[in-house]
Order: sequence, then C-alpha cells, then structure tokens
Amino acid sequence: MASILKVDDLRGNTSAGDITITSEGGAATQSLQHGLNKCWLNFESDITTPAIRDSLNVSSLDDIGTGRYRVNYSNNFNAAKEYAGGGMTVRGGNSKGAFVALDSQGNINFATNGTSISVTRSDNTLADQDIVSMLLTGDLA
Amino acid sequence: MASELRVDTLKDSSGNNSVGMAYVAGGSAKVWANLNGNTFGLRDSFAVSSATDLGAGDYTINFTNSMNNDDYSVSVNAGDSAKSYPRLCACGTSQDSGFATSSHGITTLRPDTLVGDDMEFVNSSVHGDLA
Repeated sequence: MASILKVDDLRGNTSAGDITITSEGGAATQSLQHGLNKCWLNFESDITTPAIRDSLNVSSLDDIGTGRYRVNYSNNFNAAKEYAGGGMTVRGGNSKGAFVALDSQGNINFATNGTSISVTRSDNTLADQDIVSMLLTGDLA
Repeated sequence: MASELRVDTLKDSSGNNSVGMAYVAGGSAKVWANLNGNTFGLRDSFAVSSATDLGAGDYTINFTNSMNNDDYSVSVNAGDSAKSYPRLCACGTSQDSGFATSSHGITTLRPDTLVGDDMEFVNSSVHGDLA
C-alpha cells in the first residue's frame, strides 16, 4: 500500500543534518542532504536587465558586464570554493554554441554567498544569451 | 537509536508540494567533487574515494559507491582565477577514461587551442542510480 508522509521539516535522528537513503539497487546507503542540489537557476540575459525565470536558493542576480553575472544565494554554502558547480548550460539565440564557466574575466568569486559566472560563445567572445542555467551541489552552512 | 522510515511520498503538513521518494532518491546527486587541478587535490567531495591526475587537464573521479550502470549523467564545470583566458570549458569524458560504474573522467581545455590545461577549479556532479 502506498504511504504518504506529511511533514514540513525533515531532520536526521542521530544527526540533524544527516538522513540516510538506500541506493536504488539496494547495495549502498548514502546521505540525503549531501547529495541534494542546493542551488539551480534559469535566467535570460540577452535583454536590458537579466531576468531570473525560475530558481532555487537564489536571492538575486547581478549583471556585471556582457556575458558576466554574479549569482547571490539565499542560504550560504558552508565554505568558499568548496562546493561544486556542475551542470552549467546555455542556449543562445544565435548560431554559435556557448558555454558557461564559473570564472568571470579571470576573477573567481566562488564565495559562500554567491559566485560569478561567465558565458562564452564558441568564437571565444563573452555574450549575453537567451537561456542560461546552472546547478550547484555541495554543503550548506 | 537509529530509526528507519518507509514512505512512498513526502508532502508538507498542508498536504501540498508532494514529492515521491523516487524523485528524492533519484534526483539527488550521488557524487560531487571539487578539486584543484593546478596543485591536484580534492577540496571537498561527496561519495568520492579518490581522484586521479592523468595529465594536463585530464582527471578521473573515483566513486565510493558504484553506480548501477554507466548510463548516468555527469555535469562538469571548471575555472581559474589566475589565467588571462578565463573562458575555458570542461567535458564529461576524457581521453583516458569515460564513464564507468566506479568512476568518470573530466577533461579541461583551453577553448582557443583545445589543448588540455589544468584548472584551479574542476567540479563535477553525478546523477543516476546507484548499484
């Protein structure tokens, strides 16, 4: 019989920040909290003011130049430079492909409360794009 | 004492915002890693047993728990604050190691030369089913 648990706050019993889940194949157990995506973002930047379409754990987005942005978090990460920024993608409104990097003009700002990112086209120029998305994993404070 | 809760669906106390446990477990990252490719070493990670330096811009992330198969998804990113060419990219596979149940490879490249290049920050997240 299917079961439903109605709850607003999940906490570990032994340690509040550590709930164990069993793997899909049943061979291993891992921490739920450590594996949850802590931040994701989809925004449009090829307009006058970049606009967030949807997000998780993002308080605001700053436009710091063509193809350059700072993402500010609602809840801080545990340590600067020690979380992972995978899954950054971009879709442009032109024929050139593009990619998103964590750095911005050589200045890494990989802080607990936000990070700077840059979008570069395949012709090696910074560019604003129609759809920019990112995904962060790691430990929150 | 450790406790175990068996449930199919989670909702908030109002009965809204429903999420099935399949999404909770299946949608969580099973591995993530943040490594320094310049000095080579893991800064922080989850479910990573070790990382291997295979050469310039070429790394392997080894998992603590094996994935169910090699059909999982890897998201990667890289950057370096000390280099004058910030626009570098990372790929999910390398020349020396692709996707395996116990590891995956990462290659970081200069986009202008497409030559492997070590980076200050090399990040990856793995989504898929564990064994």
